Amino acid sequence: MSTIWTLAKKDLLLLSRDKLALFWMLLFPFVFAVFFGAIFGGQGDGSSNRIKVAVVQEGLDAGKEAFLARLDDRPVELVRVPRAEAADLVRRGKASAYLDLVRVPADAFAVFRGETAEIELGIDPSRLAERGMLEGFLAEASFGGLREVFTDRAAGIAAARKAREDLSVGEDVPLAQRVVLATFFASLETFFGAIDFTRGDAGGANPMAGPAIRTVDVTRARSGPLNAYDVSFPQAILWGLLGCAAGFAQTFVRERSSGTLVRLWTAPIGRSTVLLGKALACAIAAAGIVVVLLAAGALTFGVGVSRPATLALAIAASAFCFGGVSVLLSTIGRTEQANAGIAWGLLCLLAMIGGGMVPQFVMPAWMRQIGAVSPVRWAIEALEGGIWRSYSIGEVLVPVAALLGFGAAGMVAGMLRLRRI
Amino acid sequence: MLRLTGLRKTFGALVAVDGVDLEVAPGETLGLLGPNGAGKSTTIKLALGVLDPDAGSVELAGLGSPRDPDVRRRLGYAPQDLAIYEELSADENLRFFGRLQGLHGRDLSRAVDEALALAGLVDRRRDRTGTYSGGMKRRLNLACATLHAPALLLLDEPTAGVDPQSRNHLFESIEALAARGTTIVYTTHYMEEAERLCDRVAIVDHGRVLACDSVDSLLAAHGSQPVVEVELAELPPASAKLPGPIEDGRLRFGVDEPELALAELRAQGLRWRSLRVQRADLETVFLELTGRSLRDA
Ligand SMILES: Nc1ncnc2c1ncn2[C@@H]1O[C@H](COP(=O)(O)OP(=O)(O)O)[C@@H](O)[C@H]1O
Ligand SMILES: [Mg+2]
Repeated sequence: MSTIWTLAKKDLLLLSRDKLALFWMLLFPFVFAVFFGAIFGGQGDGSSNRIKVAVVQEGLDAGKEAFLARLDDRPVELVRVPRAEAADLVRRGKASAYLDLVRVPADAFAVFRGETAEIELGIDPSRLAERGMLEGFLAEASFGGLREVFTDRAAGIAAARKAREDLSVGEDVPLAQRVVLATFFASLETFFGAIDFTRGDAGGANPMAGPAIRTVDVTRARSGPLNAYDVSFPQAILWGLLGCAAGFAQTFVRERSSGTLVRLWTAPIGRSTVLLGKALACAIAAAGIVVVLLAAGALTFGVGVSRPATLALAIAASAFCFGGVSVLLSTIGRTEQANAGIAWGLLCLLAMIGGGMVPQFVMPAWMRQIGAVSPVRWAIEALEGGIWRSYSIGEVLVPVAALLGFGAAGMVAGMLRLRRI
Repeated sequence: MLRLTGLRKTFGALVAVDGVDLEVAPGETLGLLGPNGAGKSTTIKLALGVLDPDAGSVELAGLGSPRDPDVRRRLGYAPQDLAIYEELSADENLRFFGRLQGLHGRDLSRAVDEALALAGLVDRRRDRTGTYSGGMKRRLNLACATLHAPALLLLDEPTAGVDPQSRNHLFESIEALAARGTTIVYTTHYMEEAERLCDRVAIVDHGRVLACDSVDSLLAAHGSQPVVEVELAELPPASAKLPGPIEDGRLRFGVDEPELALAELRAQGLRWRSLRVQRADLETVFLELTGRSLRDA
């Protein structure tokens, strides 16, 4: 063990003096994170702008359907689901919120009878922006065009008067109806003058203020990223890790070409020890890269840590994974150029399908499935689990297991290949 | 100490080592003298277990197989191609290789200090070796192989590409190691080095050991005649009887009495621009064994 550490320490010392390698491992990823963070930042979080809302399908009558129809031109995507599934969808992040239209008055004028809509809105309490937006949409829908009129008393009076005056000059309304409407608008004018609905002194709740929306807190397991940098930093960190794996593979080939490898082979240590030393150095450097980049992200763009324990586990697993991957990459190519070319080609492919270039959530489903063969995908998920997805230890175990698997496979494959070389 | 029996190694169609038998006694310095490509480095790597032979065996008497790490701890190897970390200082290189050899703490520090003194690098110990001269790098390359005081030291062209001063320094270091009782295998294509340092010299060419003996015995057996080299001024008359072949306008031959031979050539009508008479040395031994000069080979 102390020999492995001796070997690793030597590699870390060499790394600390290799400006170019440090550039690829730290500065390049940081620039990447800032660049893509800025780009995504311009379009919200980069995902579709429509808020996905699950609507409880039980008891949807004509009035409720009409209510939902009024949400149509809003950036809301409605999916009808059974009551039993609604909250779960939100919890799993498949929908931003769920709606249960408990009671929706049949017509807009029902407010005059003191009837208001009663709606259950299930949403993660931390998703303040979406919640505010949805409440606004629901209020709009429940009053249709009347809402504005009834919440502004002066405007209401003016509107009622104008409606009555228009009526008196208009010719195309039959006389009988004109009389009825004139009476209605006149009384409406009086009505507004007499009662201030907006102050809510008509007894208890102010029906004009909006539908009674009862918000149900559904803490979402995977809450959304708080800002675009929450997405771009994990991606960038992966680039740092890829640079790290490729860089350590390079140092191995350099040992071969510079002759120091023969000295290692003739030292009283096993060949696998030499590779384990490389893997350990790579893993330590990888963990360092994650910590440094996250710290830089936190200081400059407020990238947060939602679950420190999850993040720690994710970092350890990612470090192990890329340590193992570097061992396999070490055995590729006899010259530094060949090694760098093949290793980076492979890593770029893994990054591409694993969401290191374009985030996975904007990929089509089939592409996301292919991504499972890339350790990049699992490392991003694990890191995001600690950064903004708020994974519990249990939830991060799948990506962590995948990372450990990739790392172990890389190490074993590398050692087997080395035995043949 | 080291016995190589019937060693053979091929790289594709090329036979690099072609049935080498050698035995190195404890405490002796054995030279492998041969031109570039003779198979010296390959032989050393086979002895170390870095390469696997196609045939033959390597025995480290009293030590075991070089596959065993504990046996490797008693071996030292200075590769022909410099094997040091250029981004690290001499100190850091030596500490690293010392630790790999199992040295720790005070033993390690003492070994590093001694090695630095032996290599004459004490003043530059904290500088990156990338800034060193070729000779300094060579000295460090040797120091990295010797700091754990190995019983058997394999040195592959340890003076390649160094200035005369560093070469002398290296010679003194190696003589000091030999005086301590270290068994040394030393490869070179410089006969002067073999003559100065080695108790016995193996003449190697095309992967074979052509002769192996002490320098004096080799000279007696194969190089007793001085060599005459004559740079001809004009083509010799067709009737002339020549004692050797003409290459590039030079006539070369070995002869016991150079004066008589030259007088005879003059009598035959040969004219020369210059002439050189060489006393017998390993060069002449090599010439006699291979028909080629060590320098030209
Ligand atoms: N790894 C190798 N692959 C192919 N050919 C090699 C290899 N190592 C050495 N050779 C060839 O084997 C021959 C002997 O090489 P080497 O042992 O290095 O000779 P020397 O050390 O005496 O100069 C040379 O022709 C060389 O080109
Ligand atoms: Mg050689």
